[in-house]
Amino acid sequence: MSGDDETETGALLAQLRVKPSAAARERAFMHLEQEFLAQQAARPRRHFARGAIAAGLVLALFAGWAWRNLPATPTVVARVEAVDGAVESRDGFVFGGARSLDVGGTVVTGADLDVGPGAGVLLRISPDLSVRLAENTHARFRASDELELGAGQAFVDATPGARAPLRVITPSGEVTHLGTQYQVRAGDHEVEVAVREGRAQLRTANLTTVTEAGHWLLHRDSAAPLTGDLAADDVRFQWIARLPARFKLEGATLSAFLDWFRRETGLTPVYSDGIDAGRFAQVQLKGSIEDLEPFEALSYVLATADLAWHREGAKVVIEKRQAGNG
Amino acid sequence: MEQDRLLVQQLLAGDQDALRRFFDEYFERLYRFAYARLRGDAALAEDAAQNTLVRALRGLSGFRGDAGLFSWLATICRNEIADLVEKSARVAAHTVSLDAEGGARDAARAVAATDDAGDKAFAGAERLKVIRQVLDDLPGKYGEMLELKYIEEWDVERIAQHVGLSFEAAQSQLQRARGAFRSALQARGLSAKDLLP
Repeated sequence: MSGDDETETGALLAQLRVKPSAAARERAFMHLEQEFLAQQAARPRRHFARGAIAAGLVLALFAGWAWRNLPATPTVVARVEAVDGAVESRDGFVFGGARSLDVGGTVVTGADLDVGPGAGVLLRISPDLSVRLAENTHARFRASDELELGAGQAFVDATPGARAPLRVITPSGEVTHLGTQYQVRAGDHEVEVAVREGRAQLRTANLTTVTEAGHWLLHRDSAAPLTGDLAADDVRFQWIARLPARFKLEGATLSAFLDWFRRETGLTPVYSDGIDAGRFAQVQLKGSIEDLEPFEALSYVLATADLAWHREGAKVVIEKRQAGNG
Repeated sequence: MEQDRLLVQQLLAGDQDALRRFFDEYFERLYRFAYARLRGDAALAEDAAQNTLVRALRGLSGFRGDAGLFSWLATICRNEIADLVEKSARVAAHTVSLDAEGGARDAARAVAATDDAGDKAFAGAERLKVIRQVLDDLPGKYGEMLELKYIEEWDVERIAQHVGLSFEAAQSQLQRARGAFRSALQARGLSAKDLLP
């Protein structure tokens, strides 16, 4: 058997050496971890039930009551990616203890989420889907694809084309989407949908309507719906800048960073005429933008490439840095 | 094998580090396992690998350790591939599960017949499928050893440990496996250059 033989076999089999994308890996691990955590969460309840039976009839009756009244086994549906201020989760298990949500913490089905005044939280459901909850919001995940929004505002960010289903259920109607960025506000007998990208469908007891990007729709239980135009940087979206989605800057290209910036702000970055856009787009970035809001991050990143920016309506124009700008 | 059993015990005990190791060790291998069988459909291969690990986690207590963990996972993955192929109208037109029963199996035979018809100009996905098929049909542990060496890029020492052989015996087995692989190609009327891009 010759070295040629080894080389030949190696070359043939190397064609099967394919790799899934990093996003696919992350997505798969999240699913596996959710399953794993759900299994772990199910264990104490089984032990609890067994112990109750052994303790006698009274406790067994109590266990029976608890079994009927407790929610189904909680499943981890989201991870906290960013939090600002006081956000509490009440898991409702037996004695309903409340816990503060911190970055890296998990949210389970059935838990009541309360976002305090001036606070906000970004929950990552999958690499393709996140939900930001604004201050004074009360919400609960019924399942990983069902968010019950009792009051307040939720901003949904689903990567276009990704399989990222989510139904937002408010007292006045349900909102569904296909690859989009939109905000739902649940008010007193009303629901408002503001769509920044893609389309979202609102279904109420007597209305089903689709709202397109660049529009808002306000539905009141006892009145005809109102609609209007919406700028990408509408004041409704201002609060989400305090809860930016995580972006790994180290090793990313400027092009990838600007795409993140566009999704976070709704503004379109463009290069000014004097810039070789192709060359700059592929510039590899270093450092970290952790804890920076999108505009702070933009200034920081562009400065490292000796660039600056200014606003022109819904665009952010990137230009060469001159003494005194950017 | 002992390492597999230990990993399973740790998973059953709720060890999160073990979960990461389980994922790192097997997700990409299962992805590759599915990829060629799904004719290069990356999205379906991703689903197959992910669903396999989730199913395995649910049935972990049923793992007896008679065979290696990957062999057990591969069995689950074959079923998963068959399910995905049958359920997905999107891929039904251009994907065939080689492990499925019934119609899909007939379709697989039809594809195999096309392979033998003398047309050696294989397209990318078809080429992968043929190489995978030849590898899977090799006797004993030859297929697994070649896979570990040339696809997973394990060194001989690690392969030897995995299959329970001495270093020298593993080297010798690998040499025979390469010969068997070449012979299997020849038996199909193929040479390496028919299967290289």
